[in-house]
Amino acid sequence: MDFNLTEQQQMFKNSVKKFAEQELTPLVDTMDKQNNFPHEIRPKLAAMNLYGIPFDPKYGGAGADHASLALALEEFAKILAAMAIHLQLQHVVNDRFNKLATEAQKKQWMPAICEAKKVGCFGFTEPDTGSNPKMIKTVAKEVKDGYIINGAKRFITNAPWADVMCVFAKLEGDISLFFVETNRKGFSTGPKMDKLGLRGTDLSDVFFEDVHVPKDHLMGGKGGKFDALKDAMTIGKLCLSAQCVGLMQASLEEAIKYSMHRMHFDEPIFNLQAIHWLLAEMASRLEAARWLTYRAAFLKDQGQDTIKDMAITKLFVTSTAVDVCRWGMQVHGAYGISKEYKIERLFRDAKMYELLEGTSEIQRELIVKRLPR
Amino acid sequence: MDFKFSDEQLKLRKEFFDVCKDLEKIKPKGYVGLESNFDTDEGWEYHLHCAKIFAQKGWLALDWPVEYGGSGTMMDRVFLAEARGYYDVPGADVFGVEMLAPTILGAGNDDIKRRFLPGIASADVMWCELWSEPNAGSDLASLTTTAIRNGDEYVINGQKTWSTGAHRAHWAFAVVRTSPNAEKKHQGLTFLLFDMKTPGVTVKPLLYMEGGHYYNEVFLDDVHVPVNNVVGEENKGWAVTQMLAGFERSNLGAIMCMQRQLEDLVKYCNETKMAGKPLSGNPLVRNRLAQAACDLEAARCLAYRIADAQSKHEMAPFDASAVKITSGELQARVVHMVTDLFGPYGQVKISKWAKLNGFFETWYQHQFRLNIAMGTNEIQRNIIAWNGLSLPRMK
Ligand SMILES: Cc1cc2nc3c(=O)[nH]c(=O)nc-3n(C[C@H](O)[C@H](O)[C@H](O)COP(=O)(O)OP(=O)(O)OC[C@H]3O[C@@H](n4cnc5c(N)ncnc54)[C@H](O)[C@@H]3O)c2cc1C
Ligand SMILES: Cc1cc2nc3c(=O)[nH]c(=O)nc-3n(C[C@H](O)[C@H](O)[C@H](O)COP(=O)(O)OP(=O)(O)OC[C@H]3O[C@@H](n4cnc5c(N)ncnc54)[C@H](O)[C@@H]3O)c2cc1C
Repeated sequence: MDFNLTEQQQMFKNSVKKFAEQELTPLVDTMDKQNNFPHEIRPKLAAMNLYGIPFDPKYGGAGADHASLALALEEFAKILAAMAIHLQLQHVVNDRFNKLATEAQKKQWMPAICEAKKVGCFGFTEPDTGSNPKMIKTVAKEVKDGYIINGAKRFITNAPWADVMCVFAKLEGDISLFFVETNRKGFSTGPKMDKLGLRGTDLSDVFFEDVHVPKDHLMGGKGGKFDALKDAMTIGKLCLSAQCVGLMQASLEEAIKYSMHRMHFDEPIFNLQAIHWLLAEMASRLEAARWLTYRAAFLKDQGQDTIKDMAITKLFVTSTAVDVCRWGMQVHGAYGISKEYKIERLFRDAKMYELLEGTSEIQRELIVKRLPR
Repeated sequence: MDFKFSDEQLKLRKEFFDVCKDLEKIKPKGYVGLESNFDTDEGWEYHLHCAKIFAQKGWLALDWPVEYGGSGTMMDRVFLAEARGYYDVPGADVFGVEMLAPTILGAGNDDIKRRFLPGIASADVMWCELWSEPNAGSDLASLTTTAIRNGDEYVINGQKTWSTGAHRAHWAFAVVRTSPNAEKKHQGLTFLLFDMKTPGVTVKPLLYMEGGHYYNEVFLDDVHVPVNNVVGEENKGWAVTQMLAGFERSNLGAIMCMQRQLEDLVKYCNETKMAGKPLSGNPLVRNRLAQAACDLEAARCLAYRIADAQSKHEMAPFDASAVKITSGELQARVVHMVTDLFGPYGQVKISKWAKLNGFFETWYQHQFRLNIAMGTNEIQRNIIAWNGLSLPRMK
């Protein structure tokens, strides 16, 4: 067993930290207050090779491990979690190409996404469900020269300006996965949604009206792709957990900073036992969440990541993040609710992670089904 | 022991509920209760409209002495708070009706009573509370805003913060330091009233995390206030602030507000289908709804117990703390439950995608303040510890 980061991981973490502090800090207001995505950042992300951290360099990736991906997302989320979500989505889409596309398709799409020339989005959730594959209503019909897709997707991150979408649809009664260029006839998106947290990650509905794709856009053969979804979600869950660690770290740092300078009864509130208890609780939970997350990354790098382990990690880390960020608010007293302090954004963002990549309820179901009996 | 209300009480309670039910129908769009009335012009108009209706019926002065227009009891006041809570209707100025009036009745001289009670009862004057300062929150007595006496006037200088509704209010009640050299910081404080239009008063917004304008910073620069606006005695203001404990503390309004949220939620779960079955058929959903119903019932019993004690002047000093923690933390749990049940739809702002009109997206952000305002829950726990359990007093 070895809990230390390798030298390479540590160096990478440091450089991402520096990048995030310099480049993301000025974007906080654009994303959170104005709910806009700052497109000018994309070439800079590509220049640091942050869109393809664990992928093979021959497909434009950085050839690093998943632990590095987790470290990068953690550093991003400390400054601006919404940007981490953008990064995550590109990894989720690239991961699908990496696992299920043909060599030619990989060469076409993966470097383009890594170089910020193209943007991907990922569509499972629909108006009627985000958790239940049986309820998926988007359908694909085989025709002579390909497939025709009809249906609607909901809550799709990056959809308003993505170039390509990985989309789940029912084909002959079973779930299949396709990729669709968004400039195809019949593809459209709805208005941008405004939401509680992770603002600035543009989110919208997507509509398919007789969208035609060629045969080779069916990814990994017909049917059986609910498993592909769960598989895709393991990388997603790792990414989310890493971001929650970043949020908690930031929350703890903010709470400590605040309590050191907030004076009460002629001394900083940091000296009060009530504050000690909150900070100690925050620090303990954060530490447990961090190591669970790093272990998940390790398992992924070993090819041993299981749905159960990832679900346990996601459930624990995301719900812990909600608590830790709430306690951070409590330390701030009334100032916690004010737009002038960072803590309220951390609190709003944290809540969003409980829902992404399957809600906590769904994680519990996934875990229980896989407990040894 | 008797857990029933009299027929007379029930009749009046029903009248309150009927009137509030009608007022709910004319609620402006996007009004989500609590302090919404301060945010938009429509919200404030609505508050004033409701206040006028209550005033005409004499409901803003229910438990006051008859000579000032009183006609009922403390318990009647609790019933009105319940009705308003249930239908999420404003109209009873939290600062004037609920805090200042009882304080004036307890500590004000006849002149103060004559000058200020009628405006509160008629809903012509709305109030705000200027206590907290940038460096005086939980430790209120360390406040530094000064009021230096100059003949028949005080001249006030300093800054207040978190002043709810100060941008709407006509008048303010403030705690200020009249004797800066007093030996102890609790000494030398004075409780006084002034018109928000007095020269030298500047109000600046402090936006809430969702961007709403409920709170303010208030700057006081050479504000002249006549000495006969003091409530109680000069330099003895701390005792007056402590008296505010005399206002309605049962929190039944907040509890009825949750009661309504739960009812709306049950309706939603019955009407909404997931995988072809109503949400209310899901064991997990049922479990959480049932838990919330139990918690609410317990909170309601505690609140009635405190209302009863208060109406008999038997309330213990820590009773109010217990019910504040209970209802504030329960509201946080209810909101978490709802946002969980709604999934991502609980997180979109008011729009065609939002459930129950986006009410809970806003409430998710507002729940927090219940555990901070009017003494944080940590401070309430301290009070219970030393007052209720006789544990040694600590900072
Ligand atoms: C900011 C944001 C970005 C998103 N980005 C994307 C994206 O890019 N692509 C994409 O496809 N989706 C995206 N989503 C959708 C997200 O992944 C889903 O919302 C999530 O998986 C939950 O699905 P649902 O909304 O359909 O919930 P539903 O399945 O409708 O469930 C509603 C509620 O019921 C509960 N529930 C469901 N089934 C059960 C059960 N069996 N037992 C107990 N409880 C149950 C759920 O936990 C939830 O609380 C995004 C969501 C958000 C908020
Ligand atoms: C929604 C809202 C509305 C408000 N409206 C008004 C208003 O209209 N007028 C007005 O004057 N004020 C108002 N306030 C201010 C309110 O009274 C103060 O926020 C409150 O007294 C706490 O002070 P603080 O925010 O400065 O927190 P602090 O006192 O700085 O507390 C910071 C943290 O330290 C903890 N802490 C502090 N002292 C102790 C202790 N002795 N033991 C244990 N823990 C401790 C607190 O619990 C909190 O977690 C409002 C506040 C809010 C949130």
